[in-house]
Amino acid sequence: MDRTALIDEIRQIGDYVSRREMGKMEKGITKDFNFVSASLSHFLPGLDQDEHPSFYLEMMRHRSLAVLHSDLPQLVHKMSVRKGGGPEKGQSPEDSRKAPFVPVVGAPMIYCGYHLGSYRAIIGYMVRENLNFGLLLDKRTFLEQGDAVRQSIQELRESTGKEVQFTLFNAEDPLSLVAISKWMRDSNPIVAYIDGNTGYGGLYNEKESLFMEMELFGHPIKCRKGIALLSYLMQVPIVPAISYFENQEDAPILEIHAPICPWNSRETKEQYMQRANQALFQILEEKLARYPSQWEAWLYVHKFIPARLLKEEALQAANDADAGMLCFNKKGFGLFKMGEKAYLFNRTNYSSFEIPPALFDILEELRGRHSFGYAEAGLSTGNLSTLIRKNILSHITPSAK
Amino acid sequence: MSSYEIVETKIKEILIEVLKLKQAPESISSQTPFFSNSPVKPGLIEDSLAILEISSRLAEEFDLIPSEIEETAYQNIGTLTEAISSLKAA
Repeated sequence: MDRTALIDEIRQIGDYVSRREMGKMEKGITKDFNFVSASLSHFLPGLDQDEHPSFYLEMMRHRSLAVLHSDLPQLVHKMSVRKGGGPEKGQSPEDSRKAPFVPVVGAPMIYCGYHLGSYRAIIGYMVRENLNFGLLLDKRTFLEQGDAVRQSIQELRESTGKEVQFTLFNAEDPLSLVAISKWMRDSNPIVAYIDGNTGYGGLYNEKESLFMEMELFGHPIKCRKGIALLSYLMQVPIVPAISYFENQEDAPILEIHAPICPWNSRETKEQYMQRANQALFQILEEKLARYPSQWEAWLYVHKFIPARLLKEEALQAANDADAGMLCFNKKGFGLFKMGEKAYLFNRTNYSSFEIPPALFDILEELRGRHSFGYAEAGLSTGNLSTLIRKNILSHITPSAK
Repeated sequence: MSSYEIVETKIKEILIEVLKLKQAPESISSQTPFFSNSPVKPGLIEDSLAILEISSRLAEEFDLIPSEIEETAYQNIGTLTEAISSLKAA
């Protein structure tokens, strides 16, 4: 595929995804959007809520393009691999940024990827550099997409002519952990993602002991201990590898950072895990600040917010409605449909409640029109007072203005 | 105490320490499965990551390379004792 044809395909995919998502928004099928929007308000409060729909469309376009980019062998060849982190002594920042990373062959390492940019770029890199690798997948991905992932890697092997050996591991199977440690003892690297989605049971059902708390943009977030613990116990370094696009029409960039090493004898296991995970999150935060819509994990990052932070009460509506008028509390709540059923979504604690379709229509209209006179609301006095008491609707009295 | 029993007791002590179990070695059955999906009869090891620490400690204790102990050995204390005893005898 030449560059013109590729740019055409990228635009076509982008247009298709935009049309599809806008169509869903018009029909109220906005569950994913509501979760993403709530997480944006949580982690990036500086981003105006009115900008969330366009952010979401951009994120969904990126999500589709990330797969396209990773599946095209010529883009894997063209993928630019850069050394992350600051410049070395005597090196300009620009030279440092462009310096290629030299892979270490025949050494056990944990390449830690992220769901940013072309998140499969790290796989392309392993194949391109002929590095045998094991890929850690969460249980759901392992069971539902394992065959597709194998097929995709196999095709990449054939198209690049590389005979790289690879194996997939279910990261949630305890015996897989024993197999992984054997794989690494044989000097093979593994690839794992620090920000992946979670298994069937959902994160809420998982044991707290599997997680530790980190910070993302100053907000606490739960992070799995597995990668750092494996690194510590196996005495194997973690190599952060983050991908992003500077331009959607170009090949992805894979930035490989200096290894995080566990061999400081004065550091306890807990201290090392804290340091390693904070370093991994810092790299994510830096790129996320620059390319926020390239992060697929906005779709599920809410699962990693510690439960104690999910407030019971909805946020108060902004005092921006006219006196004597009603407004839907957009900061506190969202609305979406799934099939014939309608739901009210609490944006502060990510819970959803089924509501009658007629109420959905009224609330949707109240949301769209920003404010509404009492007489126009079309609600019974009882319903109206309940909605106001629960902060779903707000009214501003002249004295409060 | 036979060498088998010494290995078995040491494995139990390591499990007690890593899993922070409040039990004496003699009160732990060698046949209790390490892992179980049953909510009624849970396995001995509830935290899957603990297996990494256990394999690392076992290797250190018995002077083995962790990869020498096959995954199939991690069924219960009995199977693990068998595997480690065989490796030490070889």
